[in-house]
Amino acid sequence: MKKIPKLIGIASLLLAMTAITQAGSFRPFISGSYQKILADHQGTPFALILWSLSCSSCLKEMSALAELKQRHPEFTLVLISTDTLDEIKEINQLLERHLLTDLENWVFAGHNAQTLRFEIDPAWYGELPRTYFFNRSQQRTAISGALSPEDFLSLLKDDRPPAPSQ
Amino acid sequence: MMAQKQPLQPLHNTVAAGFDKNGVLWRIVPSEKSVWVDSSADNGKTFGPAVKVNPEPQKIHATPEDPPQIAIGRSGSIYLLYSADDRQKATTFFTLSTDEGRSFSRPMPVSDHADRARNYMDALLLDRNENLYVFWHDQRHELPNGSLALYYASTNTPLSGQFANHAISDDICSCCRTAVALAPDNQPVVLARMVFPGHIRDHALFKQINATTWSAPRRVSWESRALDACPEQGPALAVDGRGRSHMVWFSLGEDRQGIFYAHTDDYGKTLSPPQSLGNPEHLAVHPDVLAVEDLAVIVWQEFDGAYHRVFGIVSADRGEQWSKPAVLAETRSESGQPKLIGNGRQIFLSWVKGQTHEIIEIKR
Repeated sequence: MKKIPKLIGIASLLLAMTAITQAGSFRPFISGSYQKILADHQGTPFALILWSLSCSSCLKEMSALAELKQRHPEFTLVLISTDTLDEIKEINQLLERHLLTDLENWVFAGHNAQTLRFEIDPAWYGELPRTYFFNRSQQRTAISGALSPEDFLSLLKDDRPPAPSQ
Repeated sequence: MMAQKQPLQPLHNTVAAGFDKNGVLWRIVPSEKSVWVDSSADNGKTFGPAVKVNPEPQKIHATPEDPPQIAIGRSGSIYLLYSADDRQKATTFFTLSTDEGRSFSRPMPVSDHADRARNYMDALLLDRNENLYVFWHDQRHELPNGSLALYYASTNTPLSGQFANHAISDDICSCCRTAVALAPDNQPVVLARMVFPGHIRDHALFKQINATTWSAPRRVSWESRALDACPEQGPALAVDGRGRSHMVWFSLGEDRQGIFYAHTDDYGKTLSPPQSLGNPEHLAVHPDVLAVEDLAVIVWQEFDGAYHRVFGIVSADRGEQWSKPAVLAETRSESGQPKLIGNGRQIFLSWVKGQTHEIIEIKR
């Protein structure tokens, strides 16, 4: 009897994963996903943007990203929603509205969001939006708060070693 | 009715708890489609069967920053607020039990704009005459700086479902809970994170002066830098019997990030020097504060990459001197925010860790 909740848990995770596949190219962000993103983008400057539906500053960031993507489709942008898998429909709607569904999109899927945040950055308190700019050698600069398309342009084009993370 | 066994897997680790005048601990536990109330006669060691509050299933919202609310009056009535989808994605519902938790009134929206504007970040307060105050963040005055309006309603006939809505202030940080407490003159005091010009998210104290008037906001913190980001960390507030407001808050400052404590004896006109708390290398967050007579207690949470720990400090002299931080509880699992509750004599930590809800007495 004791195993039933666990099985239900696995079943609902599988259902959620199916929902993710149906909604678009969402990938569940779990322990280890951060290292996977780094490995996938080795040698390329890119921006990693963490955002949430409940964060009004993040909505501004979405508009900036929409504009940036239109002007510079060559930039690599990776988005991670820190919402939960049961909000996948709303996440997809918001990204669709900003024509961002074809970017690399992840959604927090572990049971311990605090641990997921810590894997990305042990000095991050969780404020959103949070953007990391990686240069070619994967040194990173962390910035909290909504950025303009111009901020993205200057930080993505700048391939000098970045200042230490704040 | 069939007993719901201890159980209840709280949605996103959110539970709210409080004591009645007989020392029985009551709590509200949200799940995906329902909110539940149960009680404990042994300070949280065991709980009786849970009663479902909402008659029809609803999509319930509860996050550690915006949990449901409970208050128990001297009459024994149990007052609840919770958030669910209605015509808007987030709507605050009020319900009340006048029969010791056996049944609850039909849940009613508290906002008179509930069909047009989201409302959330609820707070509940009973004054000494058991008048009910309900506070919430309301999207009806949303500004481009990411702020909402703080609204409230007060009533002595909550079963009527009539909640006359009044605005207290604009420029309230949308994503940070607002703290409320009762002053010795029986008027509420509010501590809120505001969005000041230039995206400065610092704190201000408001006090109700009479039934219709509130003081202008008095700024009480100056740590924040300009930041167009949601900290998702609201302050906490306790007012002691002689009118000292104990305040704790989180800031993302230029020089120092983390949590702070200060007190004021005149509702923000003058302040004690802010004191930083916790280990900034371990992400000290989510402080809570409670005062009973001269005793004041602060708790907060830290994370070292493996363990979530709740630390506590105690002051026997109204917040002048504090004990060294002590670990009250820890877990490797995901946890909720630590909350302090009192029964008039003792102070307890209420904390959801893993799938268990712990009630731990804090010794003086």
